[in-house]
Amino acid sequence: MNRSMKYLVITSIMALGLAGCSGGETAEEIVQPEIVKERQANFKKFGAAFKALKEELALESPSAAAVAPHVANLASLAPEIPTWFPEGTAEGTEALPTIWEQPEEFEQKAMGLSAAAQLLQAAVDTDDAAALGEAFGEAGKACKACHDTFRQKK
Amino acid sequence: MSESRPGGEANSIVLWDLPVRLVHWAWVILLPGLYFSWKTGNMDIHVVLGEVMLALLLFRLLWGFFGSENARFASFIKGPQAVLTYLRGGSKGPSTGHNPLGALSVVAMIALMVLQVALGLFASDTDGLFSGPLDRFVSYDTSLAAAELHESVFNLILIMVALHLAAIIFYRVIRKDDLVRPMITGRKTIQGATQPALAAPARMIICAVVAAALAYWIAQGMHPM
Repeated sequence: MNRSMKYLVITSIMALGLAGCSGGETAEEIVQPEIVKERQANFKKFGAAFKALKEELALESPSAAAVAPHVANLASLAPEIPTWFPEGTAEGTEALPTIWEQPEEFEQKAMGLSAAAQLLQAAVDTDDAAALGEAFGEAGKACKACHDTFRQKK
Repeated sequence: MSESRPGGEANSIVLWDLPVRLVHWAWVILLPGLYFSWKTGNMDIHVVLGEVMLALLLFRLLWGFFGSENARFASFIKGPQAVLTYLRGGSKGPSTGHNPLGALSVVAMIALMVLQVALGLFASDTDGLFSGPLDRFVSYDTSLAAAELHESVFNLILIMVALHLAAIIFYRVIRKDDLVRPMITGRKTIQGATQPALAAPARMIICAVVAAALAYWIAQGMHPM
């Protein structure tokens, strides 16, 4: 191989090596308060619940009863959302400072999810797949309504 | 990346057939399209482009077995020994088509794109609301992990693209060898080269139909027919 080719290969390997070093940033190095870890875990439960609901509703004959545990989770946790956000817990999370600047609006949006969760619960109690689908739509809107204002965009 | 052989006539051959060229330039458009559609939050477009990417990759993989001589993986992929020999200057590479190092980069780029699409198929957003078509096969945590990997793998693809561009520029400036034009017209004039066998158009159509059908079925969620 001639000299210029050797230089190209060596430079490329160095570039790759450098790029490899730049790896992903480590998640927040600060130690998070318990409430932050709890709420992040709870929101993840919501995410898993939505995934399960979405998949159940995509079936030929969705069964509202099949998603009962997820809905129960949602219904019991959603009303607590405003209590998960004490002052000063924004750092290193996706929570925007707007939460504490517009607390009434935040609480209102959070209650939107509670209301939708009630609808979901009713659909589960009456094993009504159609109602489940409708309630799921409402819940999705409720998530988005709050996130659009109060959660960091990607 | 062809080497010229001493002696022999300089022949103008069709080096890259139409499918190879079409797929290549489609990738050039799709990659930024995929990135910017994600960046601007246009996930519906992102998904459609991803599905087109899936079809193209499936086609290219099929073409690598059934296409024109130079398009076939068997014709240009060599083992590590060949790469080392080439780097040490011990061989000049084939008379047409990729040298062993170029072949390695093709494999890397295609493999990364296949991985990226596969990850996208299983990925989901944290809300569990928006996801790839195959996420019903995996758990919530797995689909989140797929989404994160999907983001990281894109960086690897970028690195490969940068290397690819650097190589093209190197060949143009240092070796005085224009590699862009042949990728547009398909033709290259190479000393002592013979025309590689070209696949009949019918094969392109068959591979395209199979790839499109398979991609469609996957994109719809791989439900039993």
